[in-house]
Amino acid sequence: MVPTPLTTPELEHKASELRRLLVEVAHRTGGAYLAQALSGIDLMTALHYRFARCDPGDPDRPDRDRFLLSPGHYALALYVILADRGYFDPDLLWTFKDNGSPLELATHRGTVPGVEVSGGSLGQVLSLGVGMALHARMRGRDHRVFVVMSDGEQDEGQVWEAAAAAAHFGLSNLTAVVDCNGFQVDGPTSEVMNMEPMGDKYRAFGWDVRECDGNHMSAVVDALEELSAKGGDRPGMLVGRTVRGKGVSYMEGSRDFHYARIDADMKDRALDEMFEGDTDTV
Amino acid sequence: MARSHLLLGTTATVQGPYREALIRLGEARGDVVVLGADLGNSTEIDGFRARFPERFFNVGAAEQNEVDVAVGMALEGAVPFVHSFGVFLTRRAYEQVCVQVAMHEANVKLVGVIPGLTSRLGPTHQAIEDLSLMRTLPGMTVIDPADATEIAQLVPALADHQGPVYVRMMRREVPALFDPRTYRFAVGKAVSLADGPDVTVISCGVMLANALEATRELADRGIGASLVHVSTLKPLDEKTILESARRTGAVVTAENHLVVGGLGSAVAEVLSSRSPMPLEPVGLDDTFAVPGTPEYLFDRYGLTSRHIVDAAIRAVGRKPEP
Repeated sequence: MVPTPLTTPELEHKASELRRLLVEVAHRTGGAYLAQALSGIDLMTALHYRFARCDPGDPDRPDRDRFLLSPGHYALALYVILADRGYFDPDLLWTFKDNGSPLELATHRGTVPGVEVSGGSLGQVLSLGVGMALHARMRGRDHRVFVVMSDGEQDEGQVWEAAAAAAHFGLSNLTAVVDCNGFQVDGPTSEVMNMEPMGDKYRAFGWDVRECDGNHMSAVVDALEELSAKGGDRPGMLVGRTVRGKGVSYMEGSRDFHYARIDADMKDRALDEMFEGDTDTV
Repeated sequence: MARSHLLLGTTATVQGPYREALIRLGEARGDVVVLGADLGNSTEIDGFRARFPERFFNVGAAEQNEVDVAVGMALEGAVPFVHSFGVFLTRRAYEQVCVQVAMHEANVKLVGVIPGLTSRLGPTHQAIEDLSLMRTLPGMTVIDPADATEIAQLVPALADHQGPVYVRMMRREVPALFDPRTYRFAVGKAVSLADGPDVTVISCGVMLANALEATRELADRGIGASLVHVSTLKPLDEKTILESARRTGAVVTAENHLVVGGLGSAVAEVLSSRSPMPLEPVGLDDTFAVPGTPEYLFDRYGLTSRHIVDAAIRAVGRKPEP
């Protein structure tokens, strides 16, 4: 059974819960790509709990919407969502990246239900989404394909091959989200490889583009509602302007923390901030 | 030398056997989809396109995207046949083939057209290391057919074969060597075409024609050659190869490809661990080739029947004294 989509206040509350869980898992398992997960968690929460028709009790049902995570480094953000939604035993989270654990540091298809594709090598998953959306249309199926990308992986040329193809084939059943947190491995994207203006690039490629604060839940929901309702024959793109490490002040805007190891003190500081910030959202 | 009943023994050719085979496959199977990369006529998928436009997708000259779009379809249950020149599918899209096709054992058939030195466009278009690149990928099936009969038979066989395949494809006027009434292509099966006692010639792809000629020339010189044709380089039919090699005690491999990583290497891997013996590889020797006609290039780079004969004489000469 597909769960009831969450309302905007419920989504805000859910994203706060998941943020705390991300910090706990990153702390207890020795480290994670935490700052990226914190930047993207609002966008991913909105998509998974409201827009994508996913069925945790029947994760492979043919009529499900496809939720594809492209940057495999965001794995932990997807794992906490899937665990929370009942795709697998939440206790598995504490085995994150242990030898032999299905919860690998980067997402890999076939490890746990709900992980549809492998994303460790950047810039490939939009192409997979194009293939899935073309197949759905060819077979007359009405499920949708959602692709979550990062801004760093927009450097890869293949992303733009896929962007051209999605528009060329008129894939209105494909919606992509870019988590634009402004950072890539070697530093700010503006210094390493500037791909802005991101929205204009996708517009020029023929996409129907919305841009908003990607850490502001009601703005995200409104933008995705517009893209869902738009009809037409263009693929949809939400450029989400986010803050890397959102919710943890010492991470926000920092050049450090591409990979974050969180000691007990850092964890407590992070959780204290999150509880303070969360008091008015429930 | 007795001619195998599997061979036609003529110089017949067939025009565009792949184009016809793909159309017939489309008629037989609704789950087959065809992807192209701006080389519709050049890769002989235009017939399928005209007949089944709803199952044909031209993604433009963008092979990396092409391969991953095909994987997306395969994960949904389609059987994609993916086309470009062999160089572009293997060199340009190697990581996509590795990470999304091979790693997921995706049911994708990669069809690389114009094998080895048969391209006229020079080294950018001569797939001379494609077999090597594909053979090294875990779980990848690699096929280099010899003629129109194999092409006609392997197309439906590939659709029935679950898992990733790379196949070299010849186009336009293709020799017809095997007798379609008696020959039966099977994935992973080599065929024994002659059983002389002195040396075993092992061929793949278009080199079968030269290998056949070489066995005749060797017979004229009093050297009895066995001939094994290996159209599936991976998984390799070790049983058929070892049976013939052990009987003759010396081996020549012949491939339209670098001698590194392709048939010569595959056979060497088997022989060195299971039955060490003299092995002389025929193929490109650690070099790119210049542009030219196939006839010119095969002569210049040592891939003719004469080169196979010379290699066989060397191999026989290296056999230990009885």
